[in-house]
Amino acid sequence: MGMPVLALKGIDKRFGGIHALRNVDFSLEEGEVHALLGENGAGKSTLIKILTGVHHRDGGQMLLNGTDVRIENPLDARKKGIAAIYQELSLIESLTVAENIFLGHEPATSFLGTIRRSELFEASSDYLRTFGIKLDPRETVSELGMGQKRIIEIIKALSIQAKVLLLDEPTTGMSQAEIETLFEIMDDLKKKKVNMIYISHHLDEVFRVCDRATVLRDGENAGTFQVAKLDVETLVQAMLGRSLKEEFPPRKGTPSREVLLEAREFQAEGMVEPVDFHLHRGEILGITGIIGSGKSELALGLFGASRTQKGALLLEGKHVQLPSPSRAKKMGISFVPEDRKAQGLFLRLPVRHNLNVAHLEPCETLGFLSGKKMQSRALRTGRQLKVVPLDPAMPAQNLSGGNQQKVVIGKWLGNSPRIFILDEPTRGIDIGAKTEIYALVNSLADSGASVLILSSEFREMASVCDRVLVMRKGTFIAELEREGATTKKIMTLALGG
Amino acid sequence: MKKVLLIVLLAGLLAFSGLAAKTIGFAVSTLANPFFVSMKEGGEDKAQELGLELIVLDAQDSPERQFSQVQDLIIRNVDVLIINPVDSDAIVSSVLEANAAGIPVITVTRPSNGGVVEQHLDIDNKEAGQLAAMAMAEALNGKGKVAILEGIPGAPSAADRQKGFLDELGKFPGIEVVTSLTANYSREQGANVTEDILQGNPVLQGIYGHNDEMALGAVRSAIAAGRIDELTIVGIDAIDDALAAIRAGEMYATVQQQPFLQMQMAVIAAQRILNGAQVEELVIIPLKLITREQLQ
Amino acid sequence: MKPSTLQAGTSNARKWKRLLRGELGLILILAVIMVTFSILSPYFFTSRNLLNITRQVSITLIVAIGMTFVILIGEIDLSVGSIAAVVGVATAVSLKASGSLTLALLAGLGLGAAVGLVNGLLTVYGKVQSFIVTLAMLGIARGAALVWTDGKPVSRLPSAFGTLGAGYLGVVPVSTIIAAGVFVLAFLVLNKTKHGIYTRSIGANREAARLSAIAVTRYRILAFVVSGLMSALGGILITSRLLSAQPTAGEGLELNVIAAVILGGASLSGGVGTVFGTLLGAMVIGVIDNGMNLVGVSSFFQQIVKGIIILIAVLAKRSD
Repeated sequence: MGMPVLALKGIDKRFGGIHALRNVDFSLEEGEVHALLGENGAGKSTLIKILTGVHHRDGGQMLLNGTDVRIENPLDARKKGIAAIYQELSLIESLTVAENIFLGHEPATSFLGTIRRSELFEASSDYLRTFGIKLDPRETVSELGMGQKRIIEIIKALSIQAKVLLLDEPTTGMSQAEIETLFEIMDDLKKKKVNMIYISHHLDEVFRVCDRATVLRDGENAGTFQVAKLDVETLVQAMLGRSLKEEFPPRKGTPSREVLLEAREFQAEGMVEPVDFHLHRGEILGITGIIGSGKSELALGLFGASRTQKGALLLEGKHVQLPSPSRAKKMGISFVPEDRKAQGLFLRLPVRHNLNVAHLEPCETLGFLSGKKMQSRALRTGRQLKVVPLDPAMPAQNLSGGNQQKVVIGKWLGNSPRIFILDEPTRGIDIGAKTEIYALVNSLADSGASVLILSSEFREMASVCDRVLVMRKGTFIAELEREGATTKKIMTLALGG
Repeated sequence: MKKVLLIVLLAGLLAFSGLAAKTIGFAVSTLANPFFVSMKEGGEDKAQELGLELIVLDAQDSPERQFSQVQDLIIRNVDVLIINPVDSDAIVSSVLEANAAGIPVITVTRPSNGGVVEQHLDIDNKEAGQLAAMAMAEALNGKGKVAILEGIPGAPSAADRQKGFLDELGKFPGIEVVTSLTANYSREQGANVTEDILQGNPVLQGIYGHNDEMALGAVRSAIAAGRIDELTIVGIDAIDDALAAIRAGEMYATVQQQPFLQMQMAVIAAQRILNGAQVEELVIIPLKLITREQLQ
Repeated sequence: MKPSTLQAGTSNARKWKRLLRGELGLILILAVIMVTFSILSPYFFTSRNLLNITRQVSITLIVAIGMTFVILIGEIDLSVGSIAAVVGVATAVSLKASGSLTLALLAGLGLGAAVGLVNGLLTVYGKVQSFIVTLAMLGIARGAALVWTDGKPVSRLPSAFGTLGAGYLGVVPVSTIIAAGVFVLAFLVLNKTKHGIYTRSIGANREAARLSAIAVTRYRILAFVVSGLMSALGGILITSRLLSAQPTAGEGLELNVIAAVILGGASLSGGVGTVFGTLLGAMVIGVIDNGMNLVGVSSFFQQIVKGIIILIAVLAKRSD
């Protein structure tokens, strides 16, 4: 390996009293994929923002191809060949694939400044072919799936001849198959000497696609590792400063054999086929499968939030109808939806509002709400869930992802839930928050509630659930008890291996 | 903020400079119509001459806004209130409040249907309609098809201008009124409605507008349709644009109401009231028919 | 990093900043405007004029409070001025026909609520944007008022009816008292009841509200009914004030009302806003109108000055 493409030396950054980055070293070698890991708040996003010119460093050096540079702003970063792809897509949905790829630097314009569409489509076709992607450049972006959009975003970045590509949680919302396509493209890019920085909470992805990994902890570099010589244990230890065994807290209680909820031939809107299953009292039941397997639709249906439902639901042996979420709530069912920002939170409203909104009755006297009671309830739930920082008046959008997820869960804790449905409860949140959510799930089950977790994180399924149902193409293909449910087995079944 | 303060301050100083002088409040229905602008100018002209201060507030044709503005003028302690009501019924409560505050009220162009008013200055709208009809009959030699553009429905002026016109036209059985539609005293609506009228009436000799604004709208549409030469267009108010159109041969006649004079007389009446003199209850401003000959 | 300890230090400062950007900032702006007018006109800062202002603002405020419900829930109601007009006509007609004030008021308020209900049903079940639904209703209700009256005002109403809009209780205008009552009620509903919390939630994130077991449909429709009811009350007060129902009443009222709500800190995208802010917003607009009339600013100039002051107020609130 020769001179690194990008080298950061002793980077320092403060925000007021917060020392966000301390003396951080980082280097990106030619043709490598370098993972940047760490819990939320460890300094990853600050480092990325310095690289893309959103923030400016207070101290240290940044060498791009050996020369010390200062990135003034995101546009400057692009000019210097640093392109970033964020979790939130920057594509314009109503434009075609080709128009999006060349947005802002259209290749061929006529003398009037109008775009020659045929040339635009041709140039895009070339790009798409180079990466072996079968996609019509004339297609409108809104018609595409999440994975395809992400790939368009990458191609868009490459069309400006980026030398350094930053990928921030690129697999968010992608199916397993799409993720695999992305990795193949990344392997290909590596051969073409495109250097990538890869940010993800999914350690399995890191092992699959990265060459080296740098871990940030509390704004400092906690170690840079060769991925080939690395195991999960070491990596997690570096991120947390504690061991993997602590990631999944031990389950003390055992589920009863009594059936609390039973679904017979149950089919909600969007589900391919009707399903049958039962949930025991005090049980943690996992339903897993890749994206598109129908999990989320099932979850919405069980909460009465689908437009149509068929089949029967039995609660404690009695037939029940769930025509609306408010009916489900009355039956003691709580629901944490898949997309916490779009479906779970009131981002601009205070944490206090978010924590109380689903269960205002206890704060009500003669139709009037007590602000004091709402405040103290918010504080109690917030403390129980270790929401940090705990300021009930703060808008929920100011919290980190993990803490936001805790608030979505906390919204239902006052409802003394009998059944807790969690759809992808740990997606995109850091390991510390994950552990706390697992501990909460355990304590809910220990207190006699039944928990239904729908997740595509197989490791989580294997470690947290008492029983796992594996879904493929809309039907259950396997039922595994805790002892038999290993990550490998679940994954094999879910992917159809 | 500084600039705004400065502007407000300047305006305030202007107001203060005349503090020693007697103040007249003029609540006008709308300054979006040149007729009332001319009225305002007449008032300002006379007030300056007599050393009075005139505060003009424009209700933009909203009776609610006029109510508030009269309130503000009462609080401002004006010595005389001249009101050009947006609506003769809706103004009554304002007039009553002015009466209660002991401020004498003069009304112009539209009367108040209640309360104590020292003097009302008006034109005889029926007579205006009559004069317009006479001009029309003369131009058409007592024979032809005529369309009418009406003012705001329900406004007394529109009703009178319609009645006077139709009464006079009754003397000429050869003239037929083929259609009569409202264009709300607006030039733009006058143009639009005329377009439709021309579409619907391939044969038409005359258009009468309750005011010049609508008549001028009709001129515009008639020119666009290439039918200006077949049409005799008559309006009321004698605003500058209408006089120009008559000179250009696009309009045939208008009736001069002399709003400038009307408001001058209102200010003179206000001065008399301030001096403790009696004023006449009703003053009718004389009218004048204007055709091309008068302008030569 | 220990965010919890950092929080303790900044939480107070943050609280102040939040307040400054919201209501406190607006109070300061209002104070500056009032002081300016007090200097410029000896008639401005008198108890008589201040009470006069509250009466002038009362109608805008009442309708703006209804609009606050609609904007909070993430919708808009452009038909308020037209509802005020048609309700004014309905009230006047039924008052003349029946001679009963109670019956006339019930008819007027009922009509307003009904028009609001139609707005709500079309928006929610018809799945049409409320901007379009209420724009159409703006035309329909105005047209209905004009057709009903043949464009002529309904006048010669019993003078007792004038008490609501133009009368006084002691020195306090009756319409000020009505507006104050509406304000207190709306304040309680929005801040101290489920209805308020749910309205805000739906405006902030409708899907999350649905998945929090909130009866989204019901509250969305209800917001339009509240707006229709408040517009009706506004229309009744206008009619009472003029002792005449004008079919053209309330033209452009929606713009003044929306300006008051937005000036008061509400967000057109929903979820954010308070009735106290709306009160301040309506006051700012009312005080500017009144003050300039007292000072005698030329009427063409008034519109410019008003526009500039509103822009300054909004910008001052935005910059932090």
